[in-house]
Amino acid sequence: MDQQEIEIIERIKNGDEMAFQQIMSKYGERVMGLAFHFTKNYQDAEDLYQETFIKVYRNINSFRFESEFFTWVYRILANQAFNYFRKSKRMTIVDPGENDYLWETIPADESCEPDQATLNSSLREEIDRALLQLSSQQRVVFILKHYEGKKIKDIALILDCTEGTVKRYLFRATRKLQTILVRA
Amino acid sequence: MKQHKPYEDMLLLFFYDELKPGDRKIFKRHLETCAECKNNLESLAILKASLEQVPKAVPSTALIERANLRIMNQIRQSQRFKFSNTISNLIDDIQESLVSVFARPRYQLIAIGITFILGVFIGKLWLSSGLRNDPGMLANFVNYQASLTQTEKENLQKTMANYLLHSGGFEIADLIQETPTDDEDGIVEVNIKIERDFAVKGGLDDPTILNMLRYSALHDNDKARRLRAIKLLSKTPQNHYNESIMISVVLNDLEKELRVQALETLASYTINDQILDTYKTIALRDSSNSMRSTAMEQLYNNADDTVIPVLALIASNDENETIRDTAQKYLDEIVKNISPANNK
Repeated sequence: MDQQEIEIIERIKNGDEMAFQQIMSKYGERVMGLAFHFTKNYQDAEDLYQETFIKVYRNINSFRFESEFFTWVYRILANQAFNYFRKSKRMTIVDPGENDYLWETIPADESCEPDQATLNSSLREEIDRALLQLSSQQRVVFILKHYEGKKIKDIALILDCTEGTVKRYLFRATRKLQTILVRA
Repeated sequence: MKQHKPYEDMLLLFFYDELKPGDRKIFKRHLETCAECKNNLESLAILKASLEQVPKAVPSTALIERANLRIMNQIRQSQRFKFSNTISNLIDDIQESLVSVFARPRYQLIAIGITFILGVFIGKLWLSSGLRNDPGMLANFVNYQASLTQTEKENLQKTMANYLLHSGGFEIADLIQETPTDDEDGIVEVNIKIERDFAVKGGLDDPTILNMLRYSALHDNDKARRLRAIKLLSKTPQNHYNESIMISVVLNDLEKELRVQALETLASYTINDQILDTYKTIALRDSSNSMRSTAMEQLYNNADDTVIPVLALIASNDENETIRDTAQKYLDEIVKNISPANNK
């Protein structure tokens, strides 16, 4: 963790709202993106984002610089996501909700034809549907690995569990998705 | 097949580029000869490609700014109502940390364990409360204890019968006397009506059976069973408990037949003050003239100084002439028997 970030966190601990806004601006996009991966719904992603940062602000004094700050934020986000999965069984796949004008959809290959874009969009729905069939732990681990590119040991830190447990969830999730998406 | 298992895990770690260099070499060598792993790796590559093809949703700066503004407003608002918010946040935090801790993979087994222990504890409470308050459950418990011998079960049934006698709230369903002979009274079976079938068996020397018979003689709703209980009790030796039961029946039971049976039983007992007082009460106020006559006869047979005023009262004041005459007759006899002695 760089010195500048440590100073910002210390300022937040002393009640500096500007410092907190700085942190939100720095990590906002990543947290919101991940929240959308978890919820697959624009509105729910925004709610999850807000709940996460409010929790970060409220519990900032319990952050003891023992891990990377963002790992700690991810941990809060993951816990909020588990709460979300438990409270709400819904995961809108076809319609990700209103406010879509506030989201930009970037095609994987910008040069692709419109037909391909439609195909990719339906592939996304299929993947989202397949993700739904995973347990919440498997889903979170898979998303952190595939979309965030986190290492197994980092995921273990975020979820506060052993690397063996992360591997187990990741392997099961991968095999399940492999069966659903590739072999089917 | 078993030997291939470690390679399956290595395959996934290889795919995710998380294999240690040493293992990586081993796996690569394996991959050259294993068609299954090759196919698997290809299929994983297709999965990865599919995931990469998916369009990416990126939040706009406007969205982030709007969300951040809302967060700041919420934080400021919560600072205005600091106390109530602190309390509600604290409650939320406790609730959420409990839930999130136990939802974590590491603690799930502990959560299952705690749930199990709590379940056992609540179950135990429920069972012990049920056994204390639900005679039906207690009866089932006693009847279906497979690990008990017949004698142990019978003892347990008798213990429960005594418990029921103590707590009340049950009815006698049936009284059966099995195979009585001239010498032996046989076995008495008392069927108890609670929510489940429950029965105790034993001889007339069995204290539990005797207690059940005493209960039946006094509290049974069925006249025939009360009579059977009194008859069975009359076959047992005189003691304080049996005397009390017979006196109670003689004085309180509405059925004449039962009072007559109890009076006959009392007549067979060795006289004492309590029995004598009972005869006096019967002679003075029983609704049946035959009962009164029998009681006066017993008073005559066991006459002492206290009997004379009672008979004199009946002889002088009773509404019924026959009763007055009977009382007078016994009184005369007593006086006649006393007079020679006095003359001496």
